[in-house]
This record gives sequence, structure tokens and C-alpha cells, in this order.
Amino acid sequence: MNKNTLKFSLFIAWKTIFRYSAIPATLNIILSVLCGLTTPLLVLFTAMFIDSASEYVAGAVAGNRLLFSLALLFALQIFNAICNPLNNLAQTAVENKLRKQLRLLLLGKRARLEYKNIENHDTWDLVDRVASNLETDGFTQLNNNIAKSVRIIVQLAGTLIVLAAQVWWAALVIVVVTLPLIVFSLKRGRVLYEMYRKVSAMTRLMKYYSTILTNREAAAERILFGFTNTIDERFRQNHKKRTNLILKTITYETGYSKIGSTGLILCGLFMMIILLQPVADGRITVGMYISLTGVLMSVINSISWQIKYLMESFACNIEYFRDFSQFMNLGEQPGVLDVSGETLEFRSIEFRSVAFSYPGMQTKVFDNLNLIFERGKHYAVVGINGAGKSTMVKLMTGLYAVTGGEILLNGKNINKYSFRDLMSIYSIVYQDFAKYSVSLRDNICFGASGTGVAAAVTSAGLDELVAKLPEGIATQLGRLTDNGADISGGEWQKIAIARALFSRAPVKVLDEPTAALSPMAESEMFAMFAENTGYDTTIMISHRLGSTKLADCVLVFDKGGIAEQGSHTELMKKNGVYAEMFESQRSWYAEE
Amino acid sequence: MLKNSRQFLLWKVIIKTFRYAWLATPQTLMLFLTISLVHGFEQVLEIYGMQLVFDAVAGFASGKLMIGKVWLFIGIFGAIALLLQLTDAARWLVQGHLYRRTGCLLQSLIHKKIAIFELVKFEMSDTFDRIQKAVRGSQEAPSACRGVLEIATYYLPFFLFAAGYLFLIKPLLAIALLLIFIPVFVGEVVRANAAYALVGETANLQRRFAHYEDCVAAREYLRETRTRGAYGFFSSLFINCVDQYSATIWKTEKRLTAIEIALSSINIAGYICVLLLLVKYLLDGSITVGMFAAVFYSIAKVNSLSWQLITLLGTIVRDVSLGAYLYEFLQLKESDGLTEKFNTGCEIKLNNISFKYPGAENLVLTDINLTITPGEVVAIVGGNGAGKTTLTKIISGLYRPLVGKVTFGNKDAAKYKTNCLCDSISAVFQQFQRYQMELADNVRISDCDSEVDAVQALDKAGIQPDKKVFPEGINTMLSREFGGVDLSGGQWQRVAIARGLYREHDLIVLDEPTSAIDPLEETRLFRKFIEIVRGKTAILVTHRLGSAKIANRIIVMAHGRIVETGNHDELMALSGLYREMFTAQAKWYER
Repeated sequence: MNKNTLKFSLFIAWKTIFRYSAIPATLNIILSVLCGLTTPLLVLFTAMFIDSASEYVAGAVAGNRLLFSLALLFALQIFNAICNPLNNLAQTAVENKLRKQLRLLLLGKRARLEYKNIENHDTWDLVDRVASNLETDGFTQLNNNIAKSVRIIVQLAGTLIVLAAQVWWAALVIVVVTLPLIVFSLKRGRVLYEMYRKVSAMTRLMKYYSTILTNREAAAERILFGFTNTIDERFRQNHKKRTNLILKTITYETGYSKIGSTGLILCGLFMMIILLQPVADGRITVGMYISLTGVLMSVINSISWQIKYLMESFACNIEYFRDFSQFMNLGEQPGVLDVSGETLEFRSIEFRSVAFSYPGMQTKVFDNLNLIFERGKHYAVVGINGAGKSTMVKLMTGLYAVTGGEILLNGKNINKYSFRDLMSIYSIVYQDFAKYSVSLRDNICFGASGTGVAAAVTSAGLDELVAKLPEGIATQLGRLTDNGADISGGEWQKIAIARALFSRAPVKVLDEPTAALSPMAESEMFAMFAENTGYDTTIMISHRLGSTKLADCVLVFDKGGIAEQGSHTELMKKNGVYAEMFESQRSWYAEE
Repeated sequence: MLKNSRQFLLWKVIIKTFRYAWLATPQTLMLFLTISLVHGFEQVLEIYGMQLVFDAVAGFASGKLMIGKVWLFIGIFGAIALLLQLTDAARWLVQGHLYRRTGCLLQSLIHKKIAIFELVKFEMSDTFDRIQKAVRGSQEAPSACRGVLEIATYYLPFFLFAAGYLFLIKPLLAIALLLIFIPVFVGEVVRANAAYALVGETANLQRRFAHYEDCVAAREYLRETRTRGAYGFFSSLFINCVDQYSATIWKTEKRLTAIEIALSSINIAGYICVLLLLVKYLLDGSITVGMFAAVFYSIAKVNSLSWQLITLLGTIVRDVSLGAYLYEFLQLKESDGLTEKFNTGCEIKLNNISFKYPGAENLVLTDINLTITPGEVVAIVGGNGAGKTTLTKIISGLYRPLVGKVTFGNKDAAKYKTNCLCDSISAVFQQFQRYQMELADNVRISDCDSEVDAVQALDKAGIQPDKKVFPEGINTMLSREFGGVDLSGGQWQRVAIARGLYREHDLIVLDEPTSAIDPLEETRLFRKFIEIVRGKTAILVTHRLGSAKIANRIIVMAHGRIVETGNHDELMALSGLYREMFTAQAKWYER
């Protein structure tokens, strides 16, 4: 059952290759067949040449026949010399087509993935594997492997046919003797797979040890704590264990593949013996005997390595396409890639008895969350780490679906809105905002031809930076190109804010500005944000209490719900959680 | 001149690597050399065996030889062929083993070399570049060395044996072999050059389209790109870039194909010459049919081994130049200094210290004068970029001052090696590490030789290894990748605190140790710090001015200078920067 689905997906993959690059892939196969044909043709022509040469010496044939056979051999060499490079070229054409089409396919799929897949460790690993091994283990590699297999099959089958044309039973005997041997040598089984898995786990650990002994991030602790010797010892132990396991694995594997090539050699020897009688009888010529033996013996070695390599590579393909099918089956969020339409009018967002737990998790983030954000007000959301502040943002932007209750936008369930319509409401500055290596302008407007860019730049306090940059607002940022400008973390932050200000969305959200920011800088950022958003609704999320006094309403998150809400003054009067948190921070500043 | 020194370097790489291979595993190395030699010899033996068989078959066909004799020769030939398979497999196994064992030793050497680097070196991108190149070199040098040894013990002997064999048959044949060999060589050189140029041309395009993919789909970009609807923008940039990339590759490949076809015509010409020579010898009766066939067969073998050799040469040239980076790196000088036992639990004096990062224009610290008495708790406060962290690194000996002197008691720190200065200093860094190791190891890594249990330090940092978070107690692996659990930012920070406290110390630096911990916990931890550091010298860096009050003395920094010092009350009375900052922060907390 399991096996059937595997074959199925390899087949589908093969069809996909043809869908995207029909002509080059077909050429690739045809040229591979032609390349493979040179081997049996070489057998035929060499036999002809040897025979005519020795008969010529004996005076039995005229020189014409010798010259003709020589010409055939040369022609074959030329044919071979042209076929091979052309085949490589066809392969490049396939690679080019596949690169673009498949990467685009993957990119679209990744862009549409349901958000839970991105935060889930296992699915994200899967996505990462599929994307980063696309060319090394995926379609391109499969295409190369198929072309190579075709070639080898033509080489071997063609030679067998030549043999069968001489002495049919000899060919039959050889097939019967060697086929089981070869099949046996290709079936490498689970043992090897398990060994490889162990090796790769050890490799990761070994690489990790090496990383913390060489990287920059760990440098300070490495020097101060002086752990190099201890960890290096672990590295070497692990390396040694791994090396030994690899030796064992490869011995096992090479043993298997050598059983196959030994089989081929024995079959060659066997053929040499059983063909002796036909040679004596004159049923086959000496030239044919020599040519068959010589060519077969010379291709056996290279073919046996190639087969070994192919089998490994096909195994990777199978693994890859198992991942790939799983990846393609991951859920998508509908409408994510639609082009944005009109900005919706905003009146309110309401959480009604919302319950939520992350997929696959038992613990509830929210049990019964009720809150409302109304137009034109400034909100502050506070609470300890893990109280669900950021989760709330993910829920109201529809990245996750609630497990109970409902979220209403303007009184209507957010499920009823398309993703784009919902997104037109929000403009969010994330904690780990993105730093795109494109121009400063595109970092703010993503190629849109709006007039608001200049205003956003000014409001975010970026005018000074723009004046400093060599090409102003068109300057490339980041190190992607040689003329890219490297700017500071603070400047990036301003760009993130400009991005939010440029957006026409009526609800601006600041999701926990980076923890590295000093409290002072953080409150400055809040203040600047509040100043520039005018009549818009703002929601500021932080675990620091500094900015809460700017807000019309403070929401205190605790234990899966809203513990308290109200203005700063109201909450202080209440003398509850907020007051306690506030007091604890305030106490440091109390005059004694 | 320059070229000579470079060649010298290349040989040095091979010889040095050979020496390390010998150090790493002498048996494997010897075995490898022996097997290679045997293997090359067997290849020629096989050709000769084939000649015997073919002659015997020709004799048998013309009725001059008994079938038993033919069987015998086939048997001999078969034995050689099977032995060849066995040797082939053995060579494959041994070379890989040799490569890995040597690589391990070289990598370990790099680790140890890096250990003696001063911290400031890691501020230079140049250092990082060198390390990366050295690591690459440690992978490539063994393969270059192995390649050279293979040439010496396998390819060269094989070609000599083969040429000798052909020479014995007919001297001219040996020369004709060159005709086959040379075009293959030239072709590969041209190909390698073009491929090299291609990498240069396409590397940037490749980086770019990979980045545009990331902009859509990598974790740090995905959410924002999605919510802002920027997929179309980035995917069109991507398509544009990938098209350019493919076009460049296509252009080069087309050129290469043309070159290859042109060059193979020379190869074919060589082949024709050999074939014509053979025909001539066969016609004048100076070689037998068996010899003729064996030569014919050996040409195929020589041809395929030449290809292998050329490819090998190409990789050796590449690998060896990467290997050169490794030895350049390993030759870097260790900083001088004394290594005797060093005590930091004494008076620490900073005299006119100035410091700047290499390559930077501005001083990060200017004219710092500071005396810290044993057992004192000093808090350093100031805005972003005031030089607080840098100052702690000067005190702990991780950075060396550009100007000025640091003394511990009566000892001048400059005279000692960093690792002995650090001997009794501990720290919780702002950028602490999250080691993908077990919880206990994550703590004990700060003092590897200590036998003390980690539990106590964990307890001080407020971590109880309960089963809910740590299923296997202190032996829980803190990494999803290695089959364990992942912690939240706050929990990680506590682990880092436990790590800092675990290390035996007289002086401890706490650089913003609570930034990821929520306010209630933060307050509790700060109060606890006071107890923990009692009797030890401690330096506390904090953004939160209120928490600085636990210190005996507060140092206020701005623009790399110490602008005010004193205790809280004194500083408040000064009405300077401290008071301004304090009231600004306290303002948020007024009732």
C-alpha cells in the first residue's frame, strides 16, 4: 500500500516535468537513448572491424570492407562526441524551465499556506526541506536520473540484443543468471535507511558543536567560560563515532553494490566460456567474441558505479516526493494572494466569548475572551509574557481561526469577510518587522504608485536618512547588491513605521516593539505613532507599562482572558493586577 | 616571484595535510597508499590478461590451441577482474575514512585556534570571513591531499604501466596515447574556466532571487508580506531575476557545448591515428589479434582514466587553494601574555581607558577612570549606545583598551592572557546563548571542569526542573532539533542567569539580565541578585534606572564617557543626566 503511493508520486513528478518542459525533456530522453545506443553499435562495428582486418590479412576480403568498417567506427566516435554535449545542453534547458516554474509553484503554495503550518515546528521543517532540496533531490534530479537510467538500460539491453542475435540462448542464460543478482544488489532495505538516519542525526549534532566553537554569536561566552576544550572533545568523540558508523554503512552498501558488479563480471566470464563453442563452430566470429567481451568488460565497471549512484539518488527522490506530496496537501488560506480592493470602513472589532488553543496543544490560550475595539480610540494591551497578547492579534487578523465564540468586524463575523477585505482594516508593525532588501521606497509601498510615500517618510522621521542616502528614496537597502546601503536598526524601525503609516488601513497595531529597545525609546516610538495616526484607531501591545497612560483604554490580559480594563486612572483605583504590576515597576522609582 | 611563492604554498598545503593525515590515522593512510598502488597495477594486469585470453581464443578458433588452455586463461583473467572489483571497493572505503578522520583533526585545530582569538576580532567581518574559509579549507585540504596521493600512487603508475605495456608492443603506440590525452586535458581546462566565470556572473542573481523568495515565504517576512498583500510585487521581482539567471546559464552552456564538440574532434583525430597504426601493425603482422584487441580495450580504459584524472586535477587545484586558507589561518599568531593564576577579587582600577572597535572612526569609550573595590556592586546606566556593554567587556578583559591601563590589585591586566584573566570572572550577557544541549549542560558549560551540581544555580535563577516543562528533569534536551523541548524567551534568560551564577567567580557582570522577563518577575529577581552577589564584586548594566538602586554605586554613561557617579541619592542631588532620566522614567509611574 505504502509502496503504491510512492510509485504514484514519482510518476506524477515525472508527468510534471513533462508538463513544464515537454520539448527539452523529450529531447533529453531521445538523446539519452542515442547515447546509450553507441555501446551496442560499438560492439557491432568493432567486431566488423576486427574480422575484416584479420580476413584482409589472410587475403580473404578486399580492402573496401576494411575501410568501410573503419569509417563506421569513426562515424560512431563523432556521433558520440556530438550526442553527449547536446544531451547535456538539453538537460540544462530542462533545468532552466523547471527552476522557474517549480520555484514559482512552490512560492505560491508557501505564500498561501495556512498560518498554523508556519508556526508549527514539524510542518515548517517540511516546508523548509521541500523548498531547499527542490533542485538537489527534487524534479531536476529526478529528470537527470531518469535520463541516466534510460541510457544504461539501452546500453545493457542493446548489448544483450547483439548477443542474442548471435547466440540467442546465451543471452537468455545471462539474463536468467544475472538479473536476480542485480535486483538483490539494488534492494538495500531498511537497515541501510536506518543507518543513514542515524548518521544524519550525528552529523547535525557534530555540526552544532562546531558552530558554537566557531561562530561570532557565542564568542563572548566561549572566551569567558573557556569551554572550547570540553566541547571540542565532544565534537571529536561524536565525529569519530559518526565516521565509524559511516564506514560501516558504506561497507554494507558498497558490499551490496559490488555483489551486483561481481554478478556482471561473472556473467561476462560465463559468456566468454559458453561462447567458445560457437566460436569453434564458426557460428560467431572471433571479432564478435573479442568485441563483445572487451566492450562488456569495459562498461561493467563504470555502469556498476553509476547504478549505485542512481539507486542512492532515486532513494533521495522518493524521500523528497514523499515530502513533496505532504507539502502540497498542507492546508491553504483562501484568498491570500488576491489583489486588494477597497478599504473597508471600520466601526468596531468585537471578541465574543472567544476560546482558543493552538492546533495540537492542550492548553487554552483563551477561555472566554470578551473585548471590543472601537473606532477612533487608542488602546493599550498589557500583560505578562504568554498572556496571549500577540495571539489576540493573530486571531483578529484571521491568521488563526477561533476554537470557540466569534470575532465580529462591524458586527459581522470575520469569517464572512475575504482575507483581503479583512487585511484592508489593519496595518501592523510586528515585533520582528521585515527588512526587505529592496529600495527604501519599495520597502514602504511595495511598488505601489501612491503619492503618500513622501508623507509617510516625513512623518516617520526618515527625511534625514533619505537626504543621506546616495540615491535618496530609490536607494537599495541591505547587502544584496554592491551599491546597497547598510542602515541601522533604529532606521529600519522607522521604515517599519513608515510602512504602517503609508497604509490607508484605519486600525494601526503595534505588536510588542522589539525588546532590545530601551523603555525610553519605546515610549518615544509610541508617542510618535500616536501623534501621526490622528483619528485612526490604534492598538499598542507591550509588556512594559510605560505607555499605558497615553491610551484611552488599557486592557490587562491575564490567565486566558481580560483581567481588567479601563483607563489608567480607573485601573489604579481598582487596585488589582494592573495596579500591582504598576506598583512593582513604580517601586523602583519611589522616592525614599 | 609571486607565482613561485604561491606554488610553494600549494605544495605546503599538500605536505602539511599529509602530515596531519598521518597524525590522525597512520594505519588508514598506509593502507590507502598500498591499495592505490595495487589497484593501478591491477588495471594494467587486466589489460594483459585480456590479451592472453584473446590470443588464446584466436588460437583456439584456428584449431591451434586446446579448449583447456583457453579456460585457464579465462580463469586467470576472471581472477584479476574480480580482484580488481575487490580492490576498487576497498579503495573507495579507505579513502573516505581517511578523508573524514583527517577532516576531524583539522576542524579540531580550527576550534582550538579560534579559542585563543581576542573577542574584538569577532567584531571584524574579516575574521568571520577567514574562519569560514578555514572551515571550508579543512574540508577541502584532505580531499586535495587525497587527490594528490591518488595521482602519485594510482593514476601515474597506471599510465606508466600502460605506456610501458604499449611501448613493449610498439613504441609509437605509447606516443599516440598522448594524442588522446591532450585534448581531454585542454577541454577540461576551458570548461573549468567557463564554469568559474559563470559562478561569478550568476552568484549575485542567485542571491537576489533567493532573497525575493524569502521575502514571500521565509518565516521572518511571511506574516508581514501576507498582511500587506505584497506577494505580487515580490513574485514579479523573482520572475524577472530568475529569467536573467537562466538566460546567463543558457548562454554559457551553449558556448561550452560548442567548445566541447570542437575539442572532441581533436580527440577523435588522436583516436583515428591510433586505430590506423593498429591496422598497419596488424597488416604487417607485427602484432597479434589478441594484442590488437587488448590495445583497443586499453585505449578505452586510458580514455576513461584520463577523464577521471583531469576532473581530479581540477578539483585539486580548487581544493588546494581553499586549503591554503586553512594553513594561513592556523599560522595566525597567538597573543603573548602570562598564564599564571589570576585573582579578580581585588581592587580593580581603570586608568584613562579609551577604546574603539577596529575599523571604526569614533571612540566607543573615552577617558574612563574608575576604581572598583572588592565586593562592591556597581550599576552602569545610560541610553542606547552609551558604551555600557563595552565597558563591562573592558573590565572583564574580553576587550583590551586602546589607551590606558586596567589593573587588578597590583597586576597589570595587559600582561596576562585573556583566558587567565577570565578565570574567576563570570557573566550573564545581554546576547546570551541558547545552547542546544541538555538543561544541566546549558548551565555547566560556564565551568566545564566543575563537578558541582547544576540544580543549585538553577534554583537561584528561579528554575525548578518540574516535569511539565522539563520532562526529563535537568537532563532534558533544550532543542527541538535534537528531540527535546524549546523554552520561552523568559525561561531561556533564567537558564542564562543560572549559567552565569554556576561559574566559580570573584567578579560577575550582569548585562541586562532581565530584558525578556516580565515586570513582576523582574522585580523579584533583582532583589534576589542582591543576596546572591553579596561578598562578590558585581557589575550590573540596566536600562531600568529604578533597579540600579540596589547597587553601592551607580555610574552614568553618555557617549562613551562616565558623566556622573555616586549612589542614587547623590546622583539625584546632582540634578544632572541621571535625575533627568530617572524622572522621565518615573513619570510613567506617577499615580
